Amino acid sequence: MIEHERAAGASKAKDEGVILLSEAPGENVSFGQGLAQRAFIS
Amino acid sequence: MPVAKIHVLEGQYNEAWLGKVSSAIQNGLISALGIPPEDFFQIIHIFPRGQFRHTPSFLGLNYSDDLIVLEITFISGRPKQKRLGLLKALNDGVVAAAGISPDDLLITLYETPGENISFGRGLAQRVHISDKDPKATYADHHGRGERND
Repeated sequence: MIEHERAAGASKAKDEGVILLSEAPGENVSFGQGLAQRAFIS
Repeated sequence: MPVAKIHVLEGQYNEAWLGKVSSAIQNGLISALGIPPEDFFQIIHIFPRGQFRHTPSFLGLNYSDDLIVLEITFISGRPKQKRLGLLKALNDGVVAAAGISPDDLLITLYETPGENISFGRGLAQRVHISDKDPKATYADHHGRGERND
C-alpha cells in the first residue's frame, strides 16, 4: 500500500513540472562583450 | 514594445546604479532600434545569491558578481545586422554607465509576432507586424516614420 502510494506520489510529482522552451537564434544571444558568440547557430 | 527584464544579484547594486543601467538599456534600444523614448517597459529582478547562479567563466569570458542577465522581448522581423548592433550598443552603454566588465552582461533577445502582444485593453495593437510580413513598417499603418515599436 505504501509503495503504491509512493508510486502514485511519484507519478503526481512528474505532473508538477511545467516546462516552456523559448528558442532564439544564435545571433540573438550575447554571452558578453556585446558579441553574438553563437551567431553561426540559427 | 521592447520589454526588458534585468536580473542581478542582491546586494550588489543600489538604486542609483540600477537607474544608470536602466537608462543605458533604454538608450541602447532607442539608438539601435529607433523606438520612441516613451516605449519604455522594464522589470528588474533582484535575486539572493542562492537563486542567481552562473559559471565563473564560459567561452573565454569571465563572470563576476556584477553579472547582469538581460532578456529583451520585442516584435520580430528586424534584420540580423540590426539585432547584432543592438547587442553591441547595449553592452557599450551598460558597461560605460555602470562601470562593469564587458564580460558581465549576458543578453538574450526574444522575438515574437505582433499578434502575440497586447499593450493594454486586450488588443494586439501591432497585429499587423509579424514574421509573415517582415517588411511591414510602422509607417505602413500610422503614416509616419519608420517602424519603431
